[in-house]
Amino acid sequence: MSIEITLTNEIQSTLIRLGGLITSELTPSSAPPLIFEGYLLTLVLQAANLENADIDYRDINNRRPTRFVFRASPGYIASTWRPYTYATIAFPDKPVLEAHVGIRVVGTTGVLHQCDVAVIKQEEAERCRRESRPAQPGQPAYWVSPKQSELILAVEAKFYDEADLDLDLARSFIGLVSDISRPSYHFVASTASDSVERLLTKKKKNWEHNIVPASTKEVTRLINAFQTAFRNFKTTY
Amino acid sequence: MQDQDYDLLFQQLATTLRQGGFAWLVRQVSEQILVGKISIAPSTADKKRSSKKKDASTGTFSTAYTPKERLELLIKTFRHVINTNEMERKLLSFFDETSHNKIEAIEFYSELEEDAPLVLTHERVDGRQIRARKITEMLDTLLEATNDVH
Repeated sequence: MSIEITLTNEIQSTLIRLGGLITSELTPSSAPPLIFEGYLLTLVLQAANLENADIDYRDINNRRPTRFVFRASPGYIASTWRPYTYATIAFPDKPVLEAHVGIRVVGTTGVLHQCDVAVIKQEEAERCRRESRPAQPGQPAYWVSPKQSELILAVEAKFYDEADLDLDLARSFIGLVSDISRPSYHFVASTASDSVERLLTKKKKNWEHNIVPASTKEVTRLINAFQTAFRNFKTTY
Repeated sequence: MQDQDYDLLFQQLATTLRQGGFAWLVRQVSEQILVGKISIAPSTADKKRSSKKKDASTGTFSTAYTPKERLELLIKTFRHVINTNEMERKLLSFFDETSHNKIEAIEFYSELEEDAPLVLTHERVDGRQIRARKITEMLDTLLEATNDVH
């Protein structure tokens, strides 16, 4: 049997065995971007930890949760629809920070933007929770979102199957950052794209690519960038 | 291996993925194949700065995928998605290590009622890990085999 036929047979038998293992339960279509956002939150918290912060977790009722609940779609920080979980980040003698997943913030123009991961001062988060009001009979809900000026660090997460890291998304990010004056806003993708990176570099935006657990070099570099944001916070406040 | 062999293999793998519930992934890859590989050529200002690039065009361009590249794109995309299992494990272990409580589950809820929540537990994630690793190995075998066959 020729080498070519042997390999073709190997391909066919691999395909058959693959068919037996693949089920939709393995990874639902909505799952990868959410898991990626959660993973990026852990990298932000690792960076805070490396800068000597104490990390803790709370839900919106100020309890320590055993089931961590995150948003799968953009929401308001004070939303009581689910007992959403956030992390608290406490540096010695500094204002306490909170890290949230999928919240809206108010840009310089007053437009609401979604931050996939956002670190803000707890004082600002508490103001939003205090001034917001869930819907009541005869009264619609009223939500207050954090001001962009109170952002310490923000991340735009892009999980991409190799297929679709395209330029439009990078251009959207550039538009978003122009409405957020904070310097530590990062475009983080799970894959790489030369054209996207070229565009973001040219526009002097923070970006990192190939962020998956196996990419030790890139993950370390991203954590270092987050550490810089926390160091800047510590020297400013 | 000829172009038609790569095309045939692409179709076979796409069918396997659709039957396994990954039609959404095949559709995304197919859309990307239609768009092509995007690249940005230097701007006019860039060209002026570098005389070597004088003849280059400017703007955003798309190059079509070859049949072999289309197959590789499908394999690598599926492998990338399956490898989120590693991220799930990192999530659970990090929250376990840094939380005062033992974490029972991580849940993602959309405020759109029709979307089912994503629930990660140690049991589910560990259960998927073995299968995810086997699939990754097979996809690597496929990639190697398609590169070896001439």
